[in-house]
Amino acid sequence: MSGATIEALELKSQMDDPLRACVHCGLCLEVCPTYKLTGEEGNSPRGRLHLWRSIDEKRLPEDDDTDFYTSECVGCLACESVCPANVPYAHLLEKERLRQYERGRSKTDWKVRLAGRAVKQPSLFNLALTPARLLRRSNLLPHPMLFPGKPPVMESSAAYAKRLMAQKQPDGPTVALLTGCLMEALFREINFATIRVLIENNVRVLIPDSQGCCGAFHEHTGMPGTDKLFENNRTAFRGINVDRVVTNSAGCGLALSKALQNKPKVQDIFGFLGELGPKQRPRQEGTQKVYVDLPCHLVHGQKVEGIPPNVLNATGYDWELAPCAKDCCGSGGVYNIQKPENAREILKRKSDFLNHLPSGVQPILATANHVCMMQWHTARAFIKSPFQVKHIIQLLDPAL
Amino acid sequence: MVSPTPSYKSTLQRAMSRGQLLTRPAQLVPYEADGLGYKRYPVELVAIPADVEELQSLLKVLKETNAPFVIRGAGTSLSGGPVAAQGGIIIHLSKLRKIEEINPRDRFALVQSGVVLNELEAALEPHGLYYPPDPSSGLSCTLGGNVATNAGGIHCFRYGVTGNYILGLEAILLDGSIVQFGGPAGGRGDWREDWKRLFVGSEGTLGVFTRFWLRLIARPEKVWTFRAMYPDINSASEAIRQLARHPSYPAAIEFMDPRSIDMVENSPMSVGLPRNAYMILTEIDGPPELVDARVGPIAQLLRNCGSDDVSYSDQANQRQALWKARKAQGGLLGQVSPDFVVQDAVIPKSRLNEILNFIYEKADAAGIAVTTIMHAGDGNLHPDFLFDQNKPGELEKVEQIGKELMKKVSEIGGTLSGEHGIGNDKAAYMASHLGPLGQAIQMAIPRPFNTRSQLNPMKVFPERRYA
Amino acid sequence: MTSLTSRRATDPRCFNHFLDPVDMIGCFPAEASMAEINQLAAEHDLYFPLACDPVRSVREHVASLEYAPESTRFGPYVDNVPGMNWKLPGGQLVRIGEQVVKSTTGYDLLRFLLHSGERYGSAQDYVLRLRPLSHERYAGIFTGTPECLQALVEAIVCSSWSHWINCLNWVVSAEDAPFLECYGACLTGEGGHFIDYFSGLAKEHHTSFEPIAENPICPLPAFTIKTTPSQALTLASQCKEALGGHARILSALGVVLMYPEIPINDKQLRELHSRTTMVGGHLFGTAIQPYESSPKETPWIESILNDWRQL
Repeated sequence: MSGATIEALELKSQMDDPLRACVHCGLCLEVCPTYKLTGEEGNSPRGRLHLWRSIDEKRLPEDDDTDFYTSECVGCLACESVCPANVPYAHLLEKERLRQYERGRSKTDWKVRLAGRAVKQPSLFNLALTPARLLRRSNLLPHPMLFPGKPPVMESSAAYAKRLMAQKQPDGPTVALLTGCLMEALFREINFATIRVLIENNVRVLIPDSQGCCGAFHEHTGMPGTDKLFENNRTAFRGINVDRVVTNSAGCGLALSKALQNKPKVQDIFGFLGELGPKQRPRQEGTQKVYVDLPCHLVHGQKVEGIPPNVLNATGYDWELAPCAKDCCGSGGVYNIQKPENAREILKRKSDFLNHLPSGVQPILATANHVCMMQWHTARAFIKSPFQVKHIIQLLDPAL
Repeated sequence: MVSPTPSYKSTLQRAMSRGQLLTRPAQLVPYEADGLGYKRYPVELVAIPADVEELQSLLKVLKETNAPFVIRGAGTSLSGGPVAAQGGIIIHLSKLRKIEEINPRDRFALVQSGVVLNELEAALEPHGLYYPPDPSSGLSCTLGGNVATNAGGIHCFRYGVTGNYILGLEAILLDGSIVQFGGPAGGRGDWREDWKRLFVGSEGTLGVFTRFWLRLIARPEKVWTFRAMYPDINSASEAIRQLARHPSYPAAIEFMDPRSIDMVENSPMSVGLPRNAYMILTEIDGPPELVDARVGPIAQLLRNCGSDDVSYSDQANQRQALWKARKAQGGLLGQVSPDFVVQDAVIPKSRLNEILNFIYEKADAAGIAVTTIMHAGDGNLHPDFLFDQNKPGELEKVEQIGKELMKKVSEIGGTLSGEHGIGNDKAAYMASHLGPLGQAIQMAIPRPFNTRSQLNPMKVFPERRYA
Repeated sequence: MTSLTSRRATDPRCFNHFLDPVDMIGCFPAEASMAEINQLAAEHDLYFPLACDPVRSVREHVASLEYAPESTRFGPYVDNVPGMNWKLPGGQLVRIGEQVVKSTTGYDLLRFLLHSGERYGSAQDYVLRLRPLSHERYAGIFTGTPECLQALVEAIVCSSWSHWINCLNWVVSAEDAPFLECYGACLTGEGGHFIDYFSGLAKEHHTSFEPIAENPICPLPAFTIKTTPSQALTLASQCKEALGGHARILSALGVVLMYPEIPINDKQLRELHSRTTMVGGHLFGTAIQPYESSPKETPWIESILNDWRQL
């Protein structure tokens, strides 16, 4: 009873035409933040795929509404995790957004476009944001997304890594670190903490000077130029001899892994530390408790199970996963700037647990992506009691 | 297509202030199809009422519109149920998602009809309570759709289908009135007749569900999953027969044919199963004191029937691994074929061999690929016929095979649908399955509730057209 | 019934009498006694679990109760009768339902008609779902204060043991304080596990458990009350006070089987009716007249009957 006819079919539809790989089962609806928000089929992954396919098959003209539904997607990729047919949704979304942009149908506003251009020039971008680092350091930058921190103003992460390497002389595995655009320009203290944790764990840290933007920003917005950015990073990271390229931002990690295609292997910092078994921080006695949120681009994008428990245990804090930890917080790269109402409502639902904690608990919301941190920081608008937002690497920082 | 009264949009607008009305092409196109993606029916308007009150005021004005209308939950149906077969309006209940009460004392849950099955499941877990129906669309499907199609799932061999768990329901009728049939006690309430029995499985043709009282039971404490591979259909069949009547009452007995296994093994989801083999999956559950002792006898039963490849486990991750090929099957259809049709026949288990051969012969002769899985305990067979609607003649071939298969199923004492419902996909087979008298007594049921078939026309019986 | 003879029907699709040991299903004449059916089933190591009185027919059972004691495990009659040959008001015989257990083909006339008395016609044959016979049985009685017994019932129905217990009944009678009877069938060698579980539970809840040799006899009741589990004991106790006799409560289901000494009067009936319908329950049985149809449902009933009469 052989299934000759099926063998002959192979996996053809997916390779030939990913738009038609969707079996229309609808399993993606309930993991989609915008479907849950609006209850509209068109605002779900299945709905968007159906729209794109209808446009492609010339059954539906492109118009403001089709543009709208394409722009509504947060890009969290939770749909990819549940899709039984393995529809390459991220790929299709990026393609659609790029197409929209190129045809002048994108509603991306000028500030976002400007930022998209600026990050292509990392050194200029860093220089331009020097005053912002200074102001943030002095707690004088009252933007609702800017979580508190003390970024070093002048010394770059690359210089710091060199200095610390010379001082501590680690002799373990060698990694290259992606320092990122916004991370380096505005939230540099997280890069510094990452370097300290790696070196403390006897890891040699290299930071290639020629690295640039990962391209995630452009993928999110549909702005062109990712090919060039990918190529630039291939040159930068393939030119050195390392065991891994590590990233401390789940979104950037996903884009970089697409660029490098395992040559060399890109890994999230926590997956890497988990394999290594990180140094234990002293036990934190007291009422602070860490609620771990998992960035979408870590679990759904990079398809990583989560943050390894040995890493979280090593922080010394009491921790648990935040409720719905694998659901999107609404950040979506620049989604919270482009669709602030949606982003706010998504976060409001997700963060509500902070309003119902046992009394006396001082919560720390910890995650692994700086843009998620920015989004979580805005939850102060609807969370009654104080809470801190931290990058998990900061909880492992020996300088803490 | 029936022409609606031109002003009906404004009529609906009057009735809705908080919800949404979708009227433009890109808003409507995603509502063209249900889980049976290849069959598309244009929609003229979609209404998403914000709550039960708004749904009620909407239904009060719908009669004036002269437009057919259809109720939709998550649209995961595989039978062409929640689609606008005759055009008109779709009412999408995606906002009716409140779990209103979980009552551990009397073991019932009161839920709105748009509540998603898995969300209910998650809410019940902390109470140690269990609502067994588990259609594979559980991640998204709504209770409203489950009740409308009397949905089943993998574990209904022992635990029963949706209808076995409906204590009561509330619905809005076409005259705008709200009726409650049954309630927490699961009886008739203040009615002479047990109307809820007719409404369960009525596929949205009698009224619009708003709330359900669901019967809950204790969660099974421990589960063992077994997987056995068989070299031929006779030994697999024997395993099904023996399991089905084993006094340990397996919760599930699943069957996968060699063609399905080939499809999985040819894909990235491959689990290393032998080719040309038939797979049986079964689960037993209960208190550890009982089930642990039953593991040996069940494994022995599976071997005695002719399998030398039996694996079993009570560990969550290993159980998942045993289920992997079976769970991957549905999604893979989309990767091997642009389009497919899933049948849902129930057959006497003693006729399995005969029906499988019938399916293979018909499909092979037509050059149509087919894979078959089965909720074997219940005899609920899902052959999936793969085709490409862009290839001229393929859809027609698949429809012809479907017709012949259904005729055969009726002849041997089976039925058309076990858990998906008739929708408009299987409506054409009803006349021959029921016979003229059987169909006539059925057609009397919607008449008093939905006289002109304005609500969900052309479903269940193709004759039900709105005019 | 002498044998499973073949019957010619008006509707060629009507069920013939049969017994399919693979699907554990059979079609039997409505007048067949439970003893006859179970004798035939036993030849295949099967039985019909919802029998109360062996000499009474299936029709009498269906007219008397919707839930039998073993419904605790196997569900009500409607879930154990997948099909019928039905005689319409006009006299034609038509098939209702299926001979396979799982079906969602068309409107569920079977469950609508099964306990409808003779208002829409009558059953001629029933398709019954049979279950595997187990050869080991266990049975016992719990005694204690009502509060402790109540807690014990809760503990059982909230554990997955409840799926394996055929009957867990309160017995309310004039002579004794309410007690619980519990019995069922299990796999060979498992009886001890059940007795251990019950004994441990009894200790935990300050009650006592006494194994008994035979299952209690549970004849067809005069009428039954379908209510919520939490209301059942109170209602049963009050009924017993007023009417004498005794009652059995299927504790997990909120079903009261009433065996009164004196017939229930109109006033008592109205009171009981209003208390049960309030929670979506009802009264049923040979001692209860069917309710008047409500104004809302009268036209529905007439419409259906008119259509059927014209066939």
